[in-house]
Amino acid sequence: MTIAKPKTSATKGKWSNKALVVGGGVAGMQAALDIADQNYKVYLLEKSSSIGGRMAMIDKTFPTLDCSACILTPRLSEVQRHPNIEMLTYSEVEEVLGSAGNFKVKVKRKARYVDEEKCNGCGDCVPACPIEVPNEFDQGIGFRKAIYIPFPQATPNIHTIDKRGHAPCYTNCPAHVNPQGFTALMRSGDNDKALKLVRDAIPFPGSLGRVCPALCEEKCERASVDDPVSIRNLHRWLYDNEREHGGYKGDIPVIDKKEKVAVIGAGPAGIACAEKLIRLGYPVTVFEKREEAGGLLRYGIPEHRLPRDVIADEIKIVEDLGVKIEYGKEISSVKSLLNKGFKAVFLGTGAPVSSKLRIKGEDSTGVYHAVDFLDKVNRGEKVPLGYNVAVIGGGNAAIDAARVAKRLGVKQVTIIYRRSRAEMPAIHQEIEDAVEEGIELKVLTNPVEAIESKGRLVGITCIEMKLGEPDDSGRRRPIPIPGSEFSIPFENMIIAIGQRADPKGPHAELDMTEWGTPEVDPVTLQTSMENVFAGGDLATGPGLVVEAVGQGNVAAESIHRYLQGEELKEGRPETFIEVIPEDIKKQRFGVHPRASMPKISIYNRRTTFKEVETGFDAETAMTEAGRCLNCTVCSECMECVEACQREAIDHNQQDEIIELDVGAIVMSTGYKLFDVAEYPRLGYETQSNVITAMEYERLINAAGPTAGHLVRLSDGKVPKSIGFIQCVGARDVGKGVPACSRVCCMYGIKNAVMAKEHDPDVDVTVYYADIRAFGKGFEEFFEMAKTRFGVKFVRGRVAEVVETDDEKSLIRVEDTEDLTFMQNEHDLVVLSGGIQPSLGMRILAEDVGIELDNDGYVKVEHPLLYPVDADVDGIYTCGCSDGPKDIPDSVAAGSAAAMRATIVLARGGEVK
Amino acid sequence: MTEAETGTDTAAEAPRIGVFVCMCGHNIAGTVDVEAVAKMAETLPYVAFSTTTMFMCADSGQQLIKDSIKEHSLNRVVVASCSPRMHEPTFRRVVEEADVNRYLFDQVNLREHVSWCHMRQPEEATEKAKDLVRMSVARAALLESLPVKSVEVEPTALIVGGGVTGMRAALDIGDRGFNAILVEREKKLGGQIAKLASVYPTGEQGNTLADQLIKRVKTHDKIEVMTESTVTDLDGYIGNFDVTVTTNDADKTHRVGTIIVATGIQPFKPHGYYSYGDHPDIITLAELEEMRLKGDVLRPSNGKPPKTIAYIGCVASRESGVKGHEHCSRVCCTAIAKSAGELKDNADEIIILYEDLRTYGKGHEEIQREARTKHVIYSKFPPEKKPRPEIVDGELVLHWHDVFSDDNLILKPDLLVLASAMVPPEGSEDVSKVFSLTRSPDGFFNPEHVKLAPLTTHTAGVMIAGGAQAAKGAAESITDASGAAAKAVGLMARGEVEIEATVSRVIPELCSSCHTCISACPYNAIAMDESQDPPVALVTEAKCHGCGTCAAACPSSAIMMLHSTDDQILAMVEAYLCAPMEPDGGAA
Repeated sequence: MTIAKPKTSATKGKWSNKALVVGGGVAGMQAALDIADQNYKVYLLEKSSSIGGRMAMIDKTFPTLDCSACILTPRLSEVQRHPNIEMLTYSEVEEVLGSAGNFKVKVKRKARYVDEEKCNGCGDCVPACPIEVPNEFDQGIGFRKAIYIPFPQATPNIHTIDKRGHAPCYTNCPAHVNPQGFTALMRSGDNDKALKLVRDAIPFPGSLGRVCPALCEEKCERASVDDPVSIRNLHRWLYDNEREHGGYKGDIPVIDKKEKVAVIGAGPAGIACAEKLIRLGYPVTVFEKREEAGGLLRYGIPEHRLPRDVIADEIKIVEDLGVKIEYGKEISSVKSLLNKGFKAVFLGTGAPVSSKLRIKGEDSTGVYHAVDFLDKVNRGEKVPLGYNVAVIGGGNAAIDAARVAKRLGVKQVTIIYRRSRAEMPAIHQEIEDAVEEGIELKVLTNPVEAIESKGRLVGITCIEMKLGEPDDSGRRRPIPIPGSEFSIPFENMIIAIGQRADPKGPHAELDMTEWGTPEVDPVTLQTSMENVFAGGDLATGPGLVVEAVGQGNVAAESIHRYLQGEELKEGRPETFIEVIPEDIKKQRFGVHPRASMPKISIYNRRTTFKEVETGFDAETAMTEAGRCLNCTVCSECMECVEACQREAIDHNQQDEIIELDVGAIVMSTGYKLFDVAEYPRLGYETQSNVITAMEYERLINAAGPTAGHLVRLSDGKVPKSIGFIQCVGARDVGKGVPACSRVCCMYGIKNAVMAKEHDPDVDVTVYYADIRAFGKGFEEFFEMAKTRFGVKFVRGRVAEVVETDDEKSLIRVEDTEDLTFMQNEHDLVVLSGGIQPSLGMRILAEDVGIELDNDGYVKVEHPLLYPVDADVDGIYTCGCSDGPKDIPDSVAAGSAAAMRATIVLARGGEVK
Repeated sequence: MTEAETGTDTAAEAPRIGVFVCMCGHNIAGTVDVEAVAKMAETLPYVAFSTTTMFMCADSGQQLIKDSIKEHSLNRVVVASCSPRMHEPTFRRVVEEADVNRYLFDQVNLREHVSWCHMRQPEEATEKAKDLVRMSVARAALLESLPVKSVEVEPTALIVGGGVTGMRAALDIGDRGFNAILVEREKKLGGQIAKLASVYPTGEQGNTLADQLIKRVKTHDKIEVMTESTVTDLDGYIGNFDVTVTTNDADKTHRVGTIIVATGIQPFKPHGYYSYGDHPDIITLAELEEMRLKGDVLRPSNGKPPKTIAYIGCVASRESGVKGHEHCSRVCCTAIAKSAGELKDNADEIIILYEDLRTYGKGHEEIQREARTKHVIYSKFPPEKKPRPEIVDGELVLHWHDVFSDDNLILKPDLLVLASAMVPPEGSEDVSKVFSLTRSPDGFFNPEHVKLAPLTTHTAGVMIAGGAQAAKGAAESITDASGAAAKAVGLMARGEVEIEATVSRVIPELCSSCHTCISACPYNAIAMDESQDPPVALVTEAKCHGCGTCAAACPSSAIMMLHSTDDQILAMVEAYLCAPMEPDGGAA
């Protein structure tokens, strides 16, 4: 034991007379105030978005039954107004170096995406936000928005956006549609805004809503609960719904820029690029060599998947925005366009040339290529087909061709694919639909020769395949089985094994790759000519429509930057921080299966080109939208930006590291509540009428989720009998919590009394081990609970809580005073959980450089003589940092820590 | 109010009122027609300027107020915005920066009181807003500038009580660079702790602990120690107390700025409980500790070491309905466990009879567990059937009922130790009178607020720490001590304390010297000014909290509340009841 006080370390150099208080609960606030009152500057650091700590969550305080918020609020204001206190909320300590008088503290100020200077807490943003998540402040039983203040008296009264990176659906979409955002807007009933958000990414919510393979859904986190959200069908519904109700309602952009832009090719890439540019105010002309726009969407995808009027309508919307499309106009030279005054050109001419099988007999009559075949059909041209048709390939074009052939009346359509069904790149639903329609799949089979007779196809010789090691695509490589050749009669063969760009297009003027595509910068899509950009299938080879759209978007951004003289590459490619799956809150989502898509009858499917999938009805769409987990909480729908009149919202804010020089540090990091689920026998989590005391606090609080109505969460009924179980996670060596938590007895009694205050007829029993009513006025309060309020007390540790058939909770306990075994039924059971060191205390202690005691609390230098001094000079502790305390003891310790800290601050340079 | 009536006010500079109506985004403007409110305000008497803006609290809004004051020579400002809770200080500062006294500002709450609570009735809300603004303007016209007063704080603290609490407070204040006067009525410093053989949770000897503090206190150049002394009188107010300390019948007055009362606790002598006093081997826990401190534990009856020891807890504590003994004494459960655990090494059998086991603090459960490990026996007795010692032929026989076995048990202990209640020390009544401290039913002093202000009291500048507030242990008391020292230093470090100008004032001509106000004042802020003939009541402004009790009590209407004068309040009432006349006539 030492008594060599006052100690000051022999720090040389600068001596700071500022202090840092870590933790903005009631103890930390008190410490900050008492230091600041001595005219020293104090940084009050708080990891959440508001100071106030646990006390702000509590309904009433024992033993006086004061309203917690009412007595705390003036203190919050006092802290905020104090000229010597600087609040650093939403911040964390990263590192502490130095010693007493001269600490250097690195603090991470987490991005709250709201400018603290500009926000005045008016809350206009809150109703605009469509995202609702459980409110931590309400212990998850109430809700808050993604932009929020945790409670009405939050201090500072500045909103915070809870944003946890990017959603996997969003990052996986090549065009970056924001599913979380648009489903949230749907849920809040704003379908127009939802559709606008989809259109911010793609000009084809209807078309892509039908044909997209939905890479978003592949990564949807909902799949870990049940099935992915049907994202694609939801934006399809948005489009269909708009069309049903009068069509496009969005803005018409103002063309305010002079630089003319040309787009060659009115396919997905070209249209996407043109649409983006027109919205940016550029005059855009699209040159399309064919009679209609849409490219592959129009000529490659059959009508049963994408009705003509849908794609035509979506093209028309783009034209209505101001994009000029010149049809039947083939451009052979980019330079000629530039000479005509276009300042930039985008090339999106696609990959319309079909790849060959390179087998014998491939050119015989009766053999088609899928692109040409579908093109012809889509133009209404008649294509003669026989009885037996083979389709070679496993992609979407193959499935499309097969299903079209079926609809044209072919009796027997067989898809021949060299790998197994699982490896087929086509949309799986499409494969299923094809099989349903009677199309045969012949997998692990590869054609080796087209048998002809008099120049006409009569059959195909195939070879059986097996799967070997995975290749570059990650799929297992097909290997022919020698000697397994066999022949099947076919009158037609449709080859659907891929396409490539036409090497003779206008891009021939540019530097080319060995595959005959223009050389482009992968980030900017700039070609060898600085004002010419290329994207989509032309640049990448055959890909998905949504990939082409994504490239159109990228090219539009490049062209815009180019024309504005901006750096093309700055901040690109956009980096995404994907939300950590563990951070996604799923526990409150029950299983609710994905909506199934209604379809026309199988007869119609085999015989007509009617659209197979008929779309969701409004109710299904809404329910489906409700399945989104809101992975990242904020979805960046930008509604708040629009709602904020003070321009305070900045979605690009970044975390910031600041460095503080302080002379003394006060730790007031509070506590965490014991996780009562660690006692499965007490039924929390498995029984909905077993809740924690803190949940109960929010339940009886007038500002809480039920506006202070004490009801059961399971059925909203008013409980007529409540049991309070004490010492849950305290004084239990087995659970690693040997010590008494010091506050639970009193808050348990207080909660029992409050139950009686809410409803004098309610039957209330407290099950306890010992009643520890030791503080000023506590014993008197305990006495009052028994005598005046009629709260019953049973001494005994509860054995278990069991749910009865009539949804009551049966408490089994031995009354140790009567030595009787009791089984008491209650409508509601409240578990009074113990206190533990705050979350992250160990890491923080390491960062700060102090020692913890065996229980994980801050170790004090001497429990009697220096009860608020940590074991490092210049660092002090108060509140529950060094052990459980009630409010008055925490406040007193806050003042004490302030006193000790200011002795250090006052020495200012006078080092002995 | 007619124009003629208001126009009579010619003594002061004519009011020129500016009205600033805040939209608060949609918060107010979404419900209240703020333009209409501002337009209405323009028509009110003395209003020289009226406007609206999006956010009055924003920098731009603040600047607008300042610019308007200059441009329109405003000398009164009404801001109609939100609750004054948050922004009254903001706007007071704003007007002060534009050379308008802070008390010439008035705030109307159009948000919490109007738009938020009448969201669905925009028309009625607008009418209410107009009423409130009209009332505020009427009051503003009568507002008077008040001096912003402060008093200096003497950089010396008085600490009453020389136990560990008082000493820790004195040391912290001294180490921080301020003077401390430590007054102890006993000859020796150290208080109760110095009398303990083993202080939980560390088990150190109380006198060694105390000695460390005593040594430093005595040698500290900022600390003056006065033993065998008591504070007998107090005069003055926060920052400037004159304390009379009586040492051996000699009085000396000291000027101090702040006071910490650390008078501690005292173990109760439990006469009438468990045959205490009837047998020499029945002693209190405090007596046992003193015995241990002096030497070995021996039976007072025969001087032999006791082999069988029984402790009884909650002696004269937790007695519902017995004044001064209803509280839990907080320290006994752990103290018994510590004592029993230590004595068990030399005793055959130790049994602790308890009512409830309250080993709540850091390290307390371990102490209890250690005692049990040493086979100290715990036996719970029912509160309604307490243990009964019997003296049979000079021999001590203890009867009790054990709850857990439901058995009546008997033991013949060599020593019966009663853990008696911790009560306020003798003389607490005098202390409470000298420092105007109120006491709770347990007899200890009341803090300013039991939850959030446990160390300050209703007497500004007077703090309490440790046992003065309630029975508590050494660690908790020492924490309090540093905390109370922080409160004292906070006042002294600033050097002056601003006192609210919104206090009461006696109009001497009207005072009938009836003393009603003196007894009504909860803060002892009013006294008779004997220099006047006849003597009249006089308010010590530094002591006044502005609560208004005296003004309400005064039968002669001789007391006015500054900033809430009768005239100002009646003007508001009148403005509410008598809406301005319609422009096209109405009542003449």
